[in-house]
Amino acid sequence: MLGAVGILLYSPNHFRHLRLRAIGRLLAGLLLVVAEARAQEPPAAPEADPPAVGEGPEAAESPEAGETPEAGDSPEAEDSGEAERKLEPPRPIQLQPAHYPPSALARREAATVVLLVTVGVEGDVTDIEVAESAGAEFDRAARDALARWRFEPARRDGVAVPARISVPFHFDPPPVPPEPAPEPTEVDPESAGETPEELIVHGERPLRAKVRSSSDYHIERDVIAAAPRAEGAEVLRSAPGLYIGRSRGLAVGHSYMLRGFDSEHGQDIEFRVGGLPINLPSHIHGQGYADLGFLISETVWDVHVAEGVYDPRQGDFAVAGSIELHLGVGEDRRGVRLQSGYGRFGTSRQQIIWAPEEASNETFGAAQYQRTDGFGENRAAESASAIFQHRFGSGDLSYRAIGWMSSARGQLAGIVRRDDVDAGRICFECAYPYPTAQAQNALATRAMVGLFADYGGLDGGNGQLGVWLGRDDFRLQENYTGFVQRSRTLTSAVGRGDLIEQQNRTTSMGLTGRYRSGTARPTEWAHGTVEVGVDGRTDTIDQSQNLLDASVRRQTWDRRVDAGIRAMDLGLWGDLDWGFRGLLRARAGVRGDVLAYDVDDRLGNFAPGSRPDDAFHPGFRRSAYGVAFGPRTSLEVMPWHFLTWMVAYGEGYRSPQARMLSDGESAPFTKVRSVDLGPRFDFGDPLRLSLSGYHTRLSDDVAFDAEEGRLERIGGTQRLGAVAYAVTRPVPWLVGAASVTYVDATLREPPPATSEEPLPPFEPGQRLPFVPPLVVRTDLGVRGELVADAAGESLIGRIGSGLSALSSRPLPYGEYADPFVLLDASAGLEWGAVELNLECFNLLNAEYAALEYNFASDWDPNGPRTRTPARHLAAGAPFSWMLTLGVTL
Amino acid sequence: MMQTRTLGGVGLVALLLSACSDTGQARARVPLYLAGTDIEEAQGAGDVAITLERAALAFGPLYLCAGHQAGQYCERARLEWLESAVVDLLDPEPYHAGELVGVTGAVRSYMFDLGFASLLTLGQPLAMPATEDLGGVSLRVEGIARTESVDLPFTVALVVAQEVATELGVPVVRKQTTEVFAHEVGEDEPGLVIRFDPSSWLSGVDFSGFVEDAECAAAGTAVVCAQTVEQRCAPDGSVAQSRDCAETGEVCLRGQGCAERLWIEHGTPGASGIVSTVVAGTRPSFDFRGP
Repeated sequence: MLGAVGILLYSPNHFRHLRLRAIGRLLAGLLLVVAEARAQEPPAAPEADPPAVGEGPEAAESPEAGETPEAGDSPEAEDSGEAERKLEPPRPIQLQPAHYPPSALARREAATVVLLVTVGVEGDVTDIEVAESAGAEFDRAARDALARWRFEPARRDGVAVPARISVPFHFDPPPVPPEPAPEPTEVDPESAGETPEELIVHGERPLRAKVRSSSDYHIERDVIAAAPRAEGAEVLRSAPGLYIGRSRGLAVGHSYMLRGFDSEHGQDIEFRVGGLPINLPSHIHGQGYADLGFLISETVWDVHVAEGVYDPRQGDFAVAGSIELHLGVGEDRRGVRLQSGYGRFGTSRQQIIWAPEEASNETFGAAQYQRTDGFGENRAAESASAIFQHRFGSGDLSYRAIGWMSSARGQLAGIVRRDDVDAGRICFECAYPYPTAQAQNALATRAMVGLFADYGGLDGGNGQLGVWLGRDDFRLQENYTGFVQRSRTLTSAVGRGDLIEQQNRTTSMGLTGRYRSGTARPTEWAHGTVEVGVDGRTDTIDQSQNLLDASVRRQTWDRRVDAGIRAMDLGLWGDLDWGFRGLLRARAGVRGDVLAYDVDDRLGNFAPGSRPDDAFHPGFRRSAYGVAFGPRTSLEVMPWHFLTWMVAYGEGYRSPQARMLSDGESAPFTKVRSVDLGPRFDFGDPLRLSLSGYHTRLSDDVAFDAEEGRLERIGGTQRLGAVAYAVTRPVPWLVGAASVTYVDATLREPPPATSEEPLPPFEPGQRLPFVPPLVVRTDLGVRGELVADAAGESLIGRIGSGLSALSSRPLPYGEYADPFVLLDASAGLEWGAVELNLECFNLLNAEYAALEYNFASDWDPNGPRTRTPARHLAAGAPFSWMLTLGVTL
Repeated sequence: MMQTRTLGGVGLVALLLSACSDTGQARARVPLYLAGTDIEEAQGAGDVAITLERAALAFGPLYLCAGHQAGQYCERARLEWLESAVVDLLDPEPYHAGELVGVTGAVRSYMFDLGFASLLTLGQPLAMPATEDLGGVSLRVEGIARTESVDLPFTVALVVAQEVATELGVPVVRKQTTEVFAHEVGEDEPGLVIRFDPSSWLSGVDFSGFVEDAECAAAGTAVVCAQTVEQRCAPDGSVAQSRDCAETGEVCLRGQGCAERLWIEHGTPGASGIVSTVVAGTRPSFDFRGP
């Protein structure tokens, strides 16, 4: 179906040589960039003559022409000097297959579309024209695919230059024939100069399938933009089976639920943003804590949601799955964009996005500040974030620098008892009046930077090396239980309010690297690739948990945790990806992770009631070590061009909260086994549909314990569920997406009752608490031209909506949380550089609990103490709106 | 219209799912009945017969716990009743005092207060409404102790509350370690009857000690009782003044003289013994078969 056809200088005979060269160049390139960054010297004058001024403005203005002495400094330069004396064509490094148009299936005709496209100096694609048409449907399919390609730019004498190239797409009706052998590139060096070069380049299927199971989803930009988003992280609501909420203001991470996993703040989902890992191991507030509050939705290019664990690249916390957000700003939004929004509850959001028009879509900088008085009591908050990303470099290697910083502080209303609400003792959106409740707040700051070198070799092999650094500070004061705590260190101190203070500071650094070979074709009927990769990180964590007396200058009246943790996670993986005659595709991978912990538990062994003070010094230092190992496999059968059946099995892991480990303990990782089966139907834009059934089993799970304000172990769990997801673009101005997820999640082996815990909240076989069996999501976006010429500019209108519905969630001790439905809607106008949007959230003004728990608390300090579990809730936001004016300069 | 149907459909499915699911435990409400014992006579120390005229106890709050030990191991209770009520200890007929609320499952221990709830947040125990009916105490017993020499009317009026500093916030009466108490609480319980038997609560009180048959003596006490006659003694041991308490319907109490009746209150002889017996002595019976 796809014109498949590959690129450039591929030859199986020098496969090994090229692979070694690729790795060498990747390393050398990365070192070069790091060295340049450290030197901080002005760029050297170019040794090679740049194109003469006048040959083309792109060549003269290209900073790489003068700043990147790659031709002279690269280790590759010595043996490639001859090659750099001539024109090197652009090479595709990110490819998107074109799909055979369903509307042409009846004719079963072959067709070829040739497109002309300009590849900029940063490898971006612009000015797509149809040189040879095969009809509108084939033309559109080819254009849609090519618009998502990314290239290594053409080079002349080692200098990146723009190039105008032709890209033929050949469509064969199904079944797909074996891919033809690659053809050599036709280069016309003489044509370089004042006009961009015209080259012939042949495309090929991506070397590595992005989809590993029927539960892999790519949420594309138009779906993301369809519904209004109160904040950047809410783009994830469009992912099937995923619900994201934020009940504790701007400074505490979101709560995530993904296909039967109550992931709390991220314990079950591996998050990456622009390649940077977001989850924080052994965080005091929750294992795998992931705060996506820094995201700016306008800079989210697309979202890859891999539900299940079937890809060897998935590492720690990929239990329910992995989510990777790619950042970028589209062509229609490039320039300097200022945006200001004001809305209900004193909410305002100021935003600036700078995306140089000549740069690639991945290059941008953005900053955002927002504040709100908050709905109800004690919810005022402020936050600021800044993100930058820059794609640069040329040749086989390109580089991507990314960084972001964010900070937020917010007051918290905390939770209230539902029986108090029902009895009218407190309003739904209020906070308890006691100092210990009014003092709830959170502060979070975080910064991350990363540098990634991407390699796209001549043989089609590709790879990446990256290093990153992160720093996170988190402080939370929150009271869940009212007045039930006793001091464990001061025997006479009781009942001063259970205001838990949690502090966590993490400094992380890591590296990532992978290399996937070019396609090997040992026979005519089989082809495939192999990938090896490494992920590593070290974390230095300091954390504490105390009880504060809010009525007396936040005095600390008990110390619960004071620990330092040094953690290291080193993962290695290998992966085979082989196709057979276009009908069958098999992937077999394996991943192993080694984790090491050094825990300085400074309050360990502290037992004031039973041991004299002078017998020992408190503290319990320990270390632990363990290995997590598991396969990741999948099989893909394509009986018809529009149908793919996929089955996948994988084993993953989640690292433990290090403080739970004993000395010398073989780290008891949560082992997850997951299997997925289902078909994917692809009828092109009119309909893409995937159905998936899955079963997941965890050896050891955790759930939120309100009395400690953190996650505690609850034993093994399992989930059996199904997901249906459909995306439709029946006409160019309409996009719709819908998903339905059902899961039966049960608890297999909860901890038994003990003398210290005689009333455990969980019983074997019960439904897993906090997990909604049913999650429904729909997104709908309409965008079209209203007036072709309104004072010289076209007037574009758009409306959108997003609906999320959660069924009733089981709670501990036999209770249920209420189901709720949230409907968001927006309407906007675009007129030239000006844009006006009205966004409405919770349009139905549903009174719902964003969080609901069931535990024992006592929020009446002057009445008899209640000890039985009761439902507690954190109010969700009522109806709100925001009016936003944006101007692109 | 379409949206309404969509929402309705989602709601219906959610409702069905909720109805089918199982979370292991269920909300439980158990009617609570309180009762006394049909007794008129009790036994004091030294074979002193006691006729009880009134015996009332402020009861509550009550917690039933999942573990074998209550107290600080019952931070989460299976069932609780946070009210208070006056128990007529001499009335054997159970009366409905309220409902225990909580979740289903096994209960293996209990703990309760006697009208004064010990709170973590307050230095002094919280007086529940039932204590007001008893004049601000937990226990009020009135009767006549028939000693060898006199019939001694008495009133016991005591506050029984948690006084151990390290157990602040923990109810004062708890299941004993040797006591058998176990029940699997279901969703449809007929009721819990708690029956108190005060007959032994005064067994530690030596009523004979409150009366005497003595004469004034040199270096003796200032007031002595010659059975019902109060004698006020001069320093030299002679009787300075005397009167027969019986003439005014009073009794003569050792060291005190004529008095309308014997009051056993906090700090008086016998008080701590009664409190100890109530707190640590014979427990009430618990019957989940209902009244």
